[in-house]
Amino acid sequence: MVKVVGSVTSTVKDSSLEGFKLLFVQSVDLELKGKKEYFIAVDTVGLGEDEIALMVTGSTAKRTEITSGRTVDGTLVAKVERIDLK
Amino acid sequence: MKFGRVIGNVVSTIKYEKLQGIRLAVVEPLDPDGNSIGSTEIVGDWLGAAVGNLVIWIADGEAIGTVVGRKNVPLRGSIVGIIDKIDMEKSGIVIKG
Repeated sequence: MVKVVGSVTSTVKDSSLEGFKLLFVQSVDLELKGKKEYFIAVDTVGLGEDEIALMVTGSTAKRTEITSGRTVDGTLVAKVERIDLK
Repeated sequence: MKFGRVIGNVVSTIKYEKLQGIRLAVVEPLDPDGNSIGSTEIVGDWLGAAVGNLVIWIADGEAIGTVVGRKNVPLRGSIVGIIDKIDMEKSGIVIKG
């Protein structure tokens, strides 16, 4: 689970990353407290800054239509609205 | 993908044949304030990222092979983007490459 903290502009990049919206994200715990871990991930759901998202990593990051076959290892696949804990 | 800065180059003459011709860069993961977080890594680069550039790199063993047209290149990390800037509107920070 990550928080969106910024948006990335990159002109010189691998052609496989063309057209993606790249976001700068920070890992968070269940209290949404930030950890010292930052990543750059592809947005597939239309996220904005401060929103919480689910990020999939590794080869799973290629399991969306837009990231299939691309050089991607971090993809944001869901916006987290609420977490209920018992 | 990871975010950080190129801090050096690796010079290696004797290496496995599938690594020939691939530039190796040393990258350091950073937080938004420019502090080092985590271990430095050695990654392949075909975009021409210079020392000092902010970059995006990937830990994907297939990435470099697709670009150099070789299969099973024994290298996991590679630079896939050079960062112009990162806008952090809420905190008012702009990280410039």
